[in-house]
Amino acid sequence: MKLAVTGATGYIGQRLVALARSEGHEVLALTRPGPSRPSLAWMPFDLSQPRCPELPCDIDVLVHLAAHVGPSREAPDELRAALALMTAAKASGARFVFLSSQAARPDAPTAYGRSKWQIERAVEEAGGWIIRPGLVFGGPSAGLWGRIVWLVGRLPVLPALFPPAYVQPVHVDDLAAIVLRGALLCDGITRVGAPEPVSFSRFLRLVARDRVRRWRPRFPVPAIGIVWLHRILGPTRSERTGISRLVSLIKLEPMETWDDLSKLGFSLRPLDSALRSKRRILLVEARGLLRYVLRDDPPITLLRRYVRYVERVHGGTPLILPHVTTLSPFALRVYEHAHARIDQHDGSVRSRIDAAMAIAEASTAGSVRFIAALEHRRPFASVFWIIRALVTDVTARGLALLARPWINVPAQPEAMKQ
Amino acid sequence: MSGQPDVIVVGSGPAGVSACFPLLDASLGVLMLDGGATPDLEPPEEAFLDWRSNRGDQWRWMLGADFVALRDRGAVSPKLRVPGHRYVFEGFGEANRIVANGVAAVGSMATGGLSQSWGCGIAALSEDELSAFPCPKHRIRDAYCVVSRRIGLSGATDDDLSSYFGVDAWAAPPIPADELHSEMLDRYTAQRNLHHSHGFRMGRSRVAVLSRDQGTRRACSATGNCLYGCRNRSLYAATEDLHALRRRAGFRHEKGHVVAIGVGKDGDPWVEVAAQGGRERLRARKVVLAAGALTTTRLALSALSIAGEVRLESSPTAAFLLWRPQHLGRRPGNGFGLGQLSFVQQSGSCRAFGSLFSPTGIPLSEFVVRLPFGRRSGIDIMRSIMSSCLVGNLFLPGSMSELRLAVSSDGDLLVRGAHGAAVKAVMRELEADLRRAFRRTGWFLVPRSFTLGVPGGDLHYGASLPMRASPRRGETDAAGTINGLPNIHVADGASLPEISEKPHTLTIMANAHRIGEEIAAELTLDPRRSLNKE
Repeated sequence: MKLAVTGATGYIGQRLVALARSEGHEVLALTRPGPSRPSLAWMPFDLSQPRCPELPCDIDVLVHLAAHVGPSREAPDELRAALALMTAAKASGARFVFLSSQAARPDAPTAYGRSKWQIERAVEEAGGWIIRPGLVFGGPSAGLWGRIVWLVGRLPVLPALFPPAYVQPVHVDDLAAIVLRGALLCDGITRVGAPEPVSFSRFLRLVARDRVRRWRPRFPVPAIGIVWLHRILGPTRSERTGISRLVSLIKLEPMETWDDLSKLGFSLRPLDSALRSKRRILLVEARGLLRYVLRDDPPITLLRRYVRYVERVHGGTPLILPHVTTLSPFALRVYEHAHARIDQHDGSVRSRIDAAMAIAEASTAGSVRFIAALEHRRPFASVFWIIRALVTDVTARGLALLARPWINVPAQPEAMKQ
Repeated sequence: MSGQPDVIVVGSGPAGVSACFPLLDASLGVLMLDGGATPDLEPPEEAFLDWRSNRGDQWRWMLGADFVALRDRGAVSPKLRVPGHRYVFEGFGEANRIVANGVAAVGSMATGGLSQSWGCGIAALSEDELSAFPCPKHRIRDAYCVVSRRIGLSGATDDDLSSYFGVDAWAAPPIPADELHSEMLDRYTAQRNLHHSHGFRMGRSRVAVLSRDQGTRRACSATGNCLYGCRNRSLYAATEDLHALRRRAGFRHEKGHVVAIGVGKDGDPWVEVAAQGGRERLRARKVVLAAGALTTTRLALSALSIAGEVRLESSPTAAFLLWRPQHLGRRPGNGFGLGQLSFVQQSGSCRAFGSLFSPTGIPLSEFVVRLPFGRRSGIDIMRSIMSSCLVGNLFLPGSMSELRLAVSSDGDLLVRGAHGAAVKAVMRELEADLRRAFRRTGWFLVPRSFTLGVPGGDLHYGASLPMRASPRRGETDAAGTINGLPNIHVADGASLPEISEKPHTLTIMANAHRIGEEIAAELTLDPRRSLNKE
């Protein structure tokens, strides 16, 4: 596939270009003079100069990511630029993909949102494909994401808005993958973002935990306060500090993304592990499973050994466990039972737990746990343990049965597939 | 030794080594060929519970480098997963082009063969059972005596299984039993008549494990490392005999995988060895096949161009768990990990044999995965009762098995089979009989623990080229010579006339010894004397 991309040097553009080239596609960047990477083929294009670029005729797709990011006063006529691009695409027989936003509405509070809406209508008429992502995050710090990371790093507290504001995040690499997957096939509007909206404060906490790697206390901030701040600062200063983006965030309508993602057959990576390296994800899995079988905090050597096992025997593919199961052994019991019932063929949860058990046993900590106390024990202690174990197991099994309609066994996220 | 050997022995397991001694005694030149695999893990130094409590690197013996123990979880027997025994089983299927369908077709490319990883169970056939052999019974009896004294047996005691095992005349006293087994035997003895009336007999296990020092091998010191490697060398393995053979004049041992056999126009047999580079044909006056029933049968069927299926016998097997609540909370200790008590249960017209052993040396995970509980509860439960449990196994006569072997046109060995309805019915009856028998001694057979093994899972393969008084094509005569392949003898389980429920290794070794004697007699009477006479 040969793609022409505007905004190739931007936050999303860089990831899209990298992914496309790694998959063997050719990329032509439509960018202002001075490409960022010497090996990237490029052609001059500027949003503020709405000249219709002459595209080579073997371009299959034109992906329009470029958008104005400065103050709205200096905003170019993005609609004209988009129309010019669409004409160029039609001339060379390429499909047109437009990256819009969740904020796209005719009555959006920001010019950004309104402008996106206008362009969307033109694209729709021309038969192109519109992608509406939620909050794009992850990857190198750039764009709005970069601003959020910077803020979380600098602020001493994390604002917790009340009433809570919700976002529907999507990892930038997932977004790039979606663009490539649907480039030649899709049209209409595809909404991309976490199907279950996540509170912005929780999102910030994950950024603090996994990206910035600092702990920050939460500080309640009334949502109203942000809106007043925005009004007091006025449009210019509010844009400069990013408050306007925050305001548009608060006023976002939730998107229904489940159907669109299902149609694409794409599974977004879960938020809990999205900002973590694969190794960290595996370490979390190791700690969860080993604690479950050992009834105690596993020593680091065992964690590393489990991770090495997954890397050697399963190619490093992690189990995607619900977050609660890595914290509560009882929850993992229920999950273990539920999984055994739901899918007889996919024994992956069982087999990983069994592997964790074997790894745990082959250790000095394991000798304490797996071999009955090497001092003589009163028989009643043994009977107590047995009865307790049976009762807990039966309870967990019962809960697994009841919870079956709600247990959503997630498909393997695309990112984790080898 | 230079030049052509008198005899080529294919396989260095118990049969192969047993055939060699009479040949060397007759000053014949012997070349032994085997798969050559050797251990890659030293046995642990400390006793089992000590290295489990103290060693940080115990994963080497329990998981193995590169997590070998966690990879193939399909095999039922834990010993097939123990990293230290990996070398015994590795590569056999590929090297012998085995295609198994619903059957365990396991063999060894190791020096010493499957005896490098076995339970050391032994027994001698009764006079009645020896009737099936087309040779004078006393020849085998004498061979039993020679072999038993050489390898070292223990377990001789005056109990209800003395005549069943039939080896007490050649065996040392038993290794001391642990408290669980001793108590069970006492309780059995107190009610022995009641047990007999139900067709149940019990006694000490007779095993090929030293209870007294012998040569450089030391007596069992109950370290509990039976599954992981015995530093005392108390357990018999064919490599022990190989040490002795290597010191004898006229003996040569080389690594070489025999891929074909045949007989030349002059009646002299040859073997084709796959060596690095290509294939080499080696000639001798006699060839002895002792590579294990599966491999030996494959070589024979290919050489005879027999395309059809051949019957293979193996003992249908089962395993179960026994529990005695009175022992709950008992402190586990290091002890002998192989069979301590054996039993015989008559079930209708068929007789089953089994042994009991302590589960201490077996990883708890092996048991927990069989429980129907979540793992956390499974571990809680199993660890609480393990020290008051015993593991038992059970074998039925090989005549009840339904296994078939055939060599395909591509040269693959196809093995297929299933448990017939008769086997399943008998096993169900046995489960009930044993439940009652053990209940009488105060032990519970844990519900749902009685598990039927995969056909062939006992690894007691045999009787595929059975010896008969008048052998037909594909059978062997009293000296093990294959009908249709003169001067090629079968000395391993393949030539046994039948596989009973008794452990068959000692019988294979005695038969191999006898065949060695026959070959030696034949060759030394021959005017073409050996070039090597020292």
